[in-house]
Amino acid sequence: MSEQDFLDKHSELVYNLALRLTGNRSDAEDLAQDALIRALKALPKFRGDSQLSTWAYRITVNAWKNRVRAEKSRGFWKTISFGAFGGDKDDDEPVYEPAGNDAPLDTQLEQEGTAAVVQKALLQLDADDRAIVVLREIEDRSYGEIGAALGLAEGTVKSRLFRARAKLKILLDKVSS
Amino acid sequence: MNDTTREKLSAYLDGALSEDERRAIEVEISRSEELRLELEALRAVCAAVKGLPKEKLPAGFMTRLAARRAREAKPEREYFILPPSYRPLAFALSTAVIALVVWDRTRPPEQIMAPRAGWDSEVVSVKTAAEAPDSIDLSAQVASQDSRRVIGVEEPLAAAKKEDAAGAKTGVPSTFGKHLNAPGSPLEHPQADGLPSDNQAAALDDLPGAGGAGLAAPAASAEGSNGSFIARNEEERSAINERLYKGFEEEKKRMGIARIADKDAGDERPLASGGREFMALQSSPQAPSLGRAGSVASIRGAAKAKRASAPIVKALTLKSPESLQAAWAAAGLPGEPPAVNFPEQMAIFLAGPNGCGIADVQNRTKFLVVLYKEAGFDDASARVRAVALSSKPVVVKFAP
Repeated sequence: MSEQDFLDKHSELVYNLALRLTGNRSDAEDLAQDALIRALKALPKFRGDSQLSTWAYRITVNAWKNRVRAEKSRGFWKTISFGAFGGDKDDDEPVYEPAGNDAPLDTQLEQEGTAAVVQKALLQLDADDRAIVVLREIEDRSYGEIGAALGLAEGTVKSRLFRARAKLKILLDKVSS
Repeated sequence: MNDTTREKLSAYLDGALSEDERRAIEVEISRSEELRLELEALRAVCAAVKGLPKEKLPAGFMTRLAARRAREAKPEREYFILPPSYRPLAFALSTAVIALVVWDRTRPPEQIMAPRAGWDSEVVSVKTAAEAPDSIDLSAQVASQDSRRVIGVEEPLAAAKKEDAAGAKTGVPSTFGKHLNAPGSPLEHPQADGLPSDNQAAALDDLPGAGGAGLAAPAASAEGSNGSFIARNEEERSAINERLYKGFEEEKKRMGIARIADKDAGDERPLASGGREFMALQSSPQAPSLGRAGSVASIRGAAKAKRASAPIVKALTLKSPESLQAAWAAAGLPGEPPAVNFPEQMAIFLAGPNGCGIADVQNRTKFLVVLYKEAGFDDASARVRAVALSSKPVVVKFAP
């Protein structure tokens, strides 16, 4: 597959995953570009052990987790307290605070009803759980593909997806009530 | 409903259960209102997440991606010599090297020359050969050493009495009477000598023959109420003089000193009081100058309990055949000194008791270490060791 073919088929997919993982368009574009450049560099070495999309997901998620770790260590990450969710927030899981004039995605989605609430709730999940939920629900990937993308066993994906859904349910219930 | 059942519900939603598991959970759902409600809640959550809109790529995304690729494709040299991952190691190494150099430059010589295990001696003083004058006046040379031994003092009687009074206050022994003007009139004079007062007894103990107690006895008997060495009358002076002279003669013989200062030879040092000091290790009348002699390093036995009569051994670095010949003659050694290839080489000459000799000379980074033995060398040539010309300080150590 040529580089252009790869970009044509997977750029949007990578960008949307990045958008749901980061929560704002600016960081999503930066992350997507980072992941796509890495993918293009590694494309000649791609052995076809998995689907190309799964491979691209994996690169994107790894790039994002690296950023989270790096930013966390630099102190640029901080916990955003969502009053709507009260004390149920996981303080150990920092979420990115949008910088500059780029409005957070959840703000932009505010007019779209539940979408904004769901996005906020997603940002409350930890890195792996968020990636699992996004890949499963939004990208409609199987447990096997998610496991391949994240380097997890299928059983682990299954149980973590269940826990992530349960947590999302609690968060959404609180907002509803 | 337990977590296992809930987890199965989650997997059921995804169609991830086996056929048997699917049938079993469907039966349970049909029987349990709670399970059914739970399933509906999970479906709502999934639907909510699935409802998040997918977005198109932002305008200009591909252009910016291409620009970034081009930018990152340029070989950027982020480091000059070492990759960043090596920088902590390089920093640690360079810091260690700097610390080592600073430590090496700042540590006191005593620390360097501290006796090692098995060496029960200590260096009293060291003078570098580089500092040696072209023509050495050995009296001045010796006098310049902290370990020099003033072996004779001539004082005017009036001055001696005056100093005796001062000695009563300070506890510092004073001088002898006017009659001690003959060469060889021996006295360890701590004040002129510069040795600490507690070294005085040790210095006196070093005099053999008089043998510590032998020397101390007349001194003690001559001590006045003020605690100084005062000869109150001619008889006392004679007694003290005789004992000290005897001890000195033996030490002189043991050290191979040909003669001591001779007032006629002009190798005395005048004292402020008007008297004179005589120095040990003078050149012989036949060799009035040692020429370009080098350093004098002295040691005194540190473990006096073990070596009560620890002799003083001095090492001369000699840089000319004349100075070597002079030192050889001054020590009263038989025959000729061994050949030394001057000026490429210099000679280290050991002045000490008969039978002493140089066991080894170690050329260390900053010092020449002369290891000597007090006895066991029948051949006098063992007192001389030819080494490459060096300006390093000489350290003399006892080799057990």
